[in-house]
Amino acid sequence: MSQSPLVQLEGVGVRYAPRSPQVLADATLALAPGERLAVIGESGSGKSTLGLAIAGLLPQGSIVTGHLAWPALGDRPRPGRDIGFVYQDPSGSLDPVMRVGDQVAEVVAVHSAMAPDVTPLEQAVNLLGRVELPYPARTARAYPHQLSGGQRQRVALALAMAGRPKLLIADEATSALDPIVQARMVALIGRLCDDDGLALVFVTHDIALAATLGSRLAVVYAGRIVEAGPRSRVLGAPRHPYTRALMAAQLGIERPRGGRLPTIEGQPPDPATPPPGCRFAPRCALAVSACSAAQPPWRGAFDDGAACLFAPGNPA
Amino acid sequence: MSAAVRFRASAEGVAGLAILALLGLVALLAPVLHPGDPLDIVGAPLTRPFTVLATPLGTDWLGRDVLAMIVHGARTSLTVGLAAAFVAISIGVAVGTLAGLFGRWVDETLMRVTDAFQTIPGFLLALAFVSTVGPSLATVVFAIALGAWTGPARLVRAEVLSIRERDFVAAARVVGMHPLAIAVREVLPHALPPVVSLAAVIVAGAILTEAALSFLGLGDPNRATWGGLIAEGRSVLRSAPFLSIWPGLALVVTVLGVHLAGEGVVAALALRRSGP
Amino acid sequence: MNRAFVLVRRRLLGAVPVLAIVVVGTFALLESAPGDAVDAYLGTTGGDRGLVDQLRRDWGLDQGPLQRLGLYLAALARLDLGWSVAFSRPVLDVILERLPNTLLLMGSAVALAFGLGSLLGVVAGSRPGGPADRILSIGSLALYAVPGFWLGLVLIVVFAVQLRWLPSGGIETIASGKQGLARAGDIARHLVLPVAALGILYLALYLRMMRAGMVEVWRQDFARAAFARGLPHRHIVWRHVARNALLPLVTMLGLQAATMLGGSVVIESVFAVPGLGRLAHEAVAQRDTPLLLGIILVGAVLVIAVNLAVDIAYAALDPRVGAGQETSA
Repeated sequence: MSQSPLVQLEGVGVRYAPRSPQVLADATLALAPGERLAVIGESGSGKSTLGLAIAGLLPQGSIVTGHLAWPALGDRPRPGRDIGFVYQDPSGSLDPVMRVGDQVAEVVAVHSAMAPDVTPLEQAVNLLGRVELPYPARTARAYPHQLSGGQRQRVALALAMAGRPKLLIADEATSALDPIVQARMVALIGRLCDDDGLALVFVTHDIALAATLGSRLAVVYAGRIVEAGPRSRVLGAPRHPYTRALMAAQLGIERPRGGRLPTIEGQPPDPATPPPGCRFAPRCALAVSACSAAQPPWRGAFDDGAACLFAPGNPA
Repeated sequence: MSAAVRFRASAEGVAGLAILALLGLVALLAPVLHPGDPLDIVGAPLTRPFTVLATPLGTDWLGRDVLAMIVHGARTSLTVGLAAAFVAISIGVAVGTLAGLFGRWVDETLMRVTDAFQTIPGFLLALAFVSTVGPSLATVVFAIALGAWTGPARLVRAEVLSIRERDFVAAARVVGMHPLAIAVREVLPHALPPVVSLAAVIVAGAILTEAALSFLGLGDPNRATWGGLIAEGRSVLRSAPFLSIWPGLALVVTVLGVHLAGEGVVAALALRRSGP
Repeated sequence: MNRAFVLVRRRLLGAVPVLAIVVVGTFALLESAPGDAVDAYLGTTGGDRGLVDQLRRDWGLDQGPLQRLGLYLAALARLDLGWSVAFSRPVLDVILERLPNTLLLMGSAVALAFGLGSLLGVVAGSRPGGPADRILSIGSLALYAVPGFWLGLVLIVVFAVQLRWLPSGGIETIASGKQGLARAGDIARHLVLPVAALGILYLALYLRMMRAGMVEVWRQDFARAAFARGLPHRHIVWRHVARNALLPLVTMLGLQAATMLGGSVVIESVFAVPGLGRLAHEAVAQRDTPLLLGIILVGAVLVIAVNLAVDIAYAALDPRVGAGQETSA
């Protein structure tokens, strides 16, 4: 990596309260300016926690261990100004009694993120146009309940962009939408990031979406990053059995014609009592006794490898 | 954790319960603490508080013991407060259950009547009722209940409507249970907890309304009431304000106790709702 | 304004059956009270047996109860609320003479309670659990337990008797000859204590409601999202959280109109304010049933009018009302 990374995580762990289970353990990754990372995992895997931890939006009382640094910023990131965050629920994240244009203009004004000789409201209308809402000037005067779910999520995206951030974090931002709207939304996010040179952390449970948006992928299972690497490598030659199982289940690889969608046998472990060693071992077809003895070391580079005894490369 | 444990965990609830227990004890033991008629003259008129041991809170313009009257007034206040709340909640539960269970025109009629009662100022209604029927403990209780039953009625109706469609009620209907039997056995036990949390507000309101009625001279004339004491003190407000202030303080402490205990009940119930 | 129009029409239509029930109820109470309108009328002027019978015939009081109800309704339609025994004047005249004072008292008390109550509620609810919240929560709970009429007496003792800052009763200085602004100032001075006595209970109520509403709104996603967008805390508190928490308070304003009118009966009696509430007390003391029922009827109309205004205000504050969408504020 030639540039200094935008954000760098080293062994980051998160608990939501002093004695509650660790929902995220030993997360290590780095993101360069303009780079796009897709975080993949099932619900409850800790992938949203990872996104919130990077954004600094964990609920009060959460306990974060490890190191989280912002070398390219040189300072702590300011929410809204350096990081734009898009929540999963498109309706809930908007104030129900304020016109959407005013809501966007408010964020623009707070961060003074408008061009000279443009008012915050004009800038807001521009933004609503950029997220491809029809008739932006008219939409700006609408209240959230007058918009569709897809339109509301576009407004939420405009709100996340309003402070001209350097990093956009989208937490399951498209999951609540129907497939066609979802595809358009994903394409839009990709274009916006390209246009502004935005870095992106795209948190999703859907490998296909992750493959569309992410130039790099990180796979999370039961609170741990089990595999990370460039998109082509992870999808072309997955090293962790969980990644392979996910791909088989979601992309239909190895699916017999007309047969049922294969699912992964068993359940993810209870976060309160994680199994010793590899957390995927109880469900893994390849597991040997060593897998359950201790957490398998990371093999390969920190940004291109997997936490599996059978993965190629030297233990990190 | 049981509801009782949660109640004990709320500081407000414990404080309120302590106040109410003390007041209840005073009310129960009033004949022992101050035997005889509290309205008897026992000393010189207008003795200042804390000057004569036998009448520690002083005497009124007739020479009656203020403390004795306040202690006996606690009986009236608590009796009327609890009885009026009981009557109001009973009417409310009956109306709400019938409206919610039968729906259609029964619901429509009962709810319009409820609207009408909410449109008339309850205190004016109580005034009109007592002045027509004549002041006595029973009429005061009923007059207060007349203006207080609409809240529980609406609440119970809403609860019944939401419970009515649930499986166990539908099952009871399929088995052919009588609607009233369904109401009493299946629906009411689930609809009551929110009403219980409303009870404190109703009791407090009833105590205050009783005091206001007595203050205007519409309380039971044969009993010592806090409102009546405050009103009697008015004539000597400039020279002996304590005559009005003591019974008012008793009122404040009582109502505060009811509110605090109510907060405890809400804490106990609300936690159960959010729990598993 | 279309939404508000639909709302007003619905509320007015809803008021018809409610008023009908109130009217029939007052009629029933009137019938059950001893004596009739002729007794009331002649009680003040005097008259012999023949006049009594003739008036009964003329006024239709010798007919059956249904016909009498019809006559009562017809009289109401002509805005004839009957004859006041105590004042020897038509009931409506007496009521209209007293109404402005009550409206002034209630309006000021509502303004105080709603304005200051919601403001302090925002202070308490801006950081739930903080020191300001704790003090205000305990203080408001204590205030909420204070009976208004007793508070009125305490205020009189302190501010009128001891400090001599303010008058202890009445609505203005009698025969002062003051005009214009001087008179308005005089009335304002007279109103300070009764407004405080009437309004403080509601102030505590609105404070507690506003605080509870804000605690509720803080838990909603958009409050978290506003923080994620980098809005300053004060900005989120005032423009988003308080704004949304205000909505249930406005509804409460309508619900409390009837209770407050009841409360003004005692307060007006304490401060000798010549208003509707004191009039009700006088009507009770002098067994003037037609007057008392007239006050109840006018009170009900007043409450309906207040609720109408509250509906319009609510529609202006909440764009979701009447839009055919669910409102989950």
